[in-house]
Amino acid sequence: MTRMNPVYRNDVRFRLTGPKAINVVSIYLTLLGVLAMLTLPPDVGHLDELRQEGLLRAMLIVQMVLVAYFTSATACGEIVIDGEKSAWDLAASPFSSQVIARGKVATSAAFAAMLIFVGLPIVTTIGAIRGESLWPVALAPAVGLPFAVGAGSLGTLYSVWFDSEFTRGFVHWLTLVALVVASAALPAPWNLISPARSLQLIDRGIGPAVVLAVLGYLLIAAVATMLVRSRLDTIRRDAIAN
Amino acid sequence: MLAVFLLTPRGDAAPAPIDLRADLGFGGWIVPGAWTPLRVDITAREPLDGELVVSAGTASGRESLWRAPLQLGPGARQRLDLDVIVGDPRRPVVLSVYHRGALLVSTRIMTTALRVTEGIVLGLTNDAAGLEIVARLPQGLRPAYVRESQLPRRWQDYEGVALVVVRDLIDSRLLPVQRDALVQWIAQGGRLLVTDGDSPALRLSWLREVLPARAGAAARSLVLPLVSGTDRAVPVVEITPHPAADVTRDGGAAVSARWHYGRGVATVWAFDPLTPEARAWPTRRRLWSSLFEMQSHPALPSADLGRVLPISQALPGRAQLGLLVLTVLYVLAVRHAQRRWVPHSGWLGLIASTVISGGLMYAYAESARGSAIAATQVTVIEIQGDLRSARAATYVSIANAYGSTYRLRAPEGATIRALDGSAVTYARTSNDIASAGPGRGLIFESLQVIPQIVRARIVEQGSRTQLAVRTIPGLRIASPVVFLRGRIYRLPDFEEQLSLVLDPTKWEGVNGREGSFRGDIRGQIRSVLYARLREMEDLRERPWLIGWVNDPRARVLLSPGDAGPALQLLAARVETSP
Repeated sequence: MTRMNPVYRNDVRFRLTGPKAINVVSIYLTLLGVLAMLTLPPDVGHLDELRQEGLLRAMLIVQMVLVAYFTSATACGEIVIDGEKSAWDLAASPFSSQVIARGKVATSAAFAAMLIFVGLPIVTTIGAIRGESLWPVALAPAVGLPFAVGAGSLGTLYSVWFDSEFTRGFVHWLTLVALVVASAALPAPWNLISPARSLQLIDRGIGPAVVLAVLGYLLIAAVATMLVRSRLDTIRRDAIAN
Repeated sequence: MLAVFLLTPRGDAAPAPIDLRADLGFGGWIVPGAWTPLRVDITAREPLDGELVVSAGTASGRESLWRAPLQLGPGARQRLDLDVIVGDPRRPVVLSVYHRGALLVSTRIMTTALRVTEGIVLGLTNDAAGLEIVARLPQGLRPAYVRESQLPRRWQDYEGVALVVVRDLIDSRLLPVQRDALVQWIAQGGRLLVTDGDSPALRLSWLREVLPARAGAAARSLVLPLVSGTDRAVPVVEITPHPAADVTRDGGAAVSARWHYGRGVATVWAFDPLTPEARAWPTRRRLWSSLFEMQSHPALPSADLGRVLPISQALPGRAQLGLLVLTVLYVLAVRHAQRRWVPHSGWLGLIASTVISGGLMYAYAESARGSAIAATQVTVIEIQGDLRSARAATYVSIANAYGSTYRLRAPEGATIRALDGSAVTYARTSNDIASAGPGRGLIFESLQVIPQIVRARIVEQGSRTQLAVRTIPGLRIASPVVFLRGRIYRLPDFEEQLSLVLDPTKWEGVNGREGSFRGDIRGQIRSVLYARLREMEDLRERPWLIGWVNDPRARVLLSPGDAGPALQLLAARVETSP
């Protein structure tokens, strides 16, 4: 029987039940709820820019961005969850760097999955009001979750890489803007990096383009995890040397 | 009528479960966007319990459906007379027969552009010859030879017909509804030609008030230089024109009489233009052209009326509040689950609260969507003074921003259709349609005739002008005005009757500000109607009585949802007598 990663077990407990984590989830759901109410005016569904994509699709993109932000922000320490130890703090623990790095990426995955899941009632309400198929809602996590995991892993990497809070926050936001906004502005086929573009394509099924994008996000997560592990080893070596 | 014959096997060597035979259009001709008859004969070899679904392309590239139930025993035959609208003739009309929900057969009627015309001339003759000349007229017409049984049963179904030529009519083969439909169509702007002064049609009591001449007695052979363009004698049975008719004389006899019946035109020719000799007359093109010289009066209301109706409808405040409350409760439920349940039961508590709340919110939103659909309708009841019936045209604007399914049911005898090419599903009766999908300002038109409800007359007595109006019992006319040449005379509200001397100083110009306020739908409707009256030469020279009424017989019902305001404007032509 495999033992549960201790870092993951501790972090997830606080991410689910910690007072700050509860507030984070409440803020996230409130933001989704406000957006859902804003979509209720009848003419919103007829705005030209929304006509092709649909309100439900727009809502799924917003949800994905929010999930990615909260996952990466909690991972990089921009939002500190009470009781949760950062990767930097865990460098002094007896856990191996591999356990820490894997535990952190698993925490990001679980947190992102939880956020996506608890957001579903609000997102599906939009689908029900507009009479749209819920198929995109069912498929959206296929893109949203890997993207959030990738962003979370980068957040963990920044938490061990940058000492300065300002630098960490700046790079974190820069990463999100680059991944969400700038990537969408790239010419085809490079705009496939954009998760919003992948979410649009997912309506036609999970095709090779979507699979490629998802593999890209997972690759980012894997590389970031390796770099976290490497950085933790360096920190430990430096600590021993000093 | 040209038959489009279809025998549809099930694919392999197995015998076809049904025989399907369909006739589309008049003589196979189709006028795009107009009601077109579709006769389907189905013979079942096995028991059949299902429906026939006909699909035709709309002008906007979508597809409309017509559904008709089918129930046949083995060997039984069922005939269905449907009226369909082919908006896009480039796409085939598809007939599908379903048996207990499963597709049994599906087949196509190809409607190429070669079978499309701008108007059809129906010939009720024993010999299918002589009407080909109409194809050379500038109106873009095509002839179709029909028998009595093929004449429409509703006046609206003549929509694509430009002229009905009656030569050989066997009255006993006509159903009463077919007679009424023909007469009503002429009253609503159709054209009728009865040829031959000895035609039995001239002796029919139900057609007598329509025709401008009575049958003659004396059969003669006359040289008709104007009519035939030759010096050969033509057999003529002299007609007796009505004093009010526009009569043409040739060879010393009345050979043609025509007049307006309602908004339409009825003509009687004392000679037969379909004989082999007449088909060679050098003047035949001019002769047939003359049938279209007398213009039929245009209808007063137009689709412009539908465009002033509201096109948007928000979710009811109660539904919005409900969604807000549910969302807040959900956020609190998740907080509670995170605090109290997750520490004890782990993920399960969170999953349970999310699934239960999600189900409730989805069900509520789904039901709220149905309440956010609304219809606003305006009916113009147009009355031509000399008819016993009034034309009621209703325009319905549907605001369906949230894409729920709805159903519109027009009154019995009415036809209803989407004017914007929306994809709709028609019940067999054509006064019952259903649609889904989001949209704003979806305009539907319902057309019907109702019994005459108002008679208005202006009598000139020296310098006095007396207006007398009489309505059916219980009918109240609100904010009535008399409209004449761009000016209005305001009248007091009245019920059943009004007698008033019109003061010449009280005529006023139409207020240009009327209807300029965005929410003033009544003002905008009046404004559209006044503009129409000013534009149409045939309409503006006569006084009109215009006022708001409430007649439930001309109301279109919406389900589900809010039927919304139903505005009804009476526009009655006022008879004038010196």
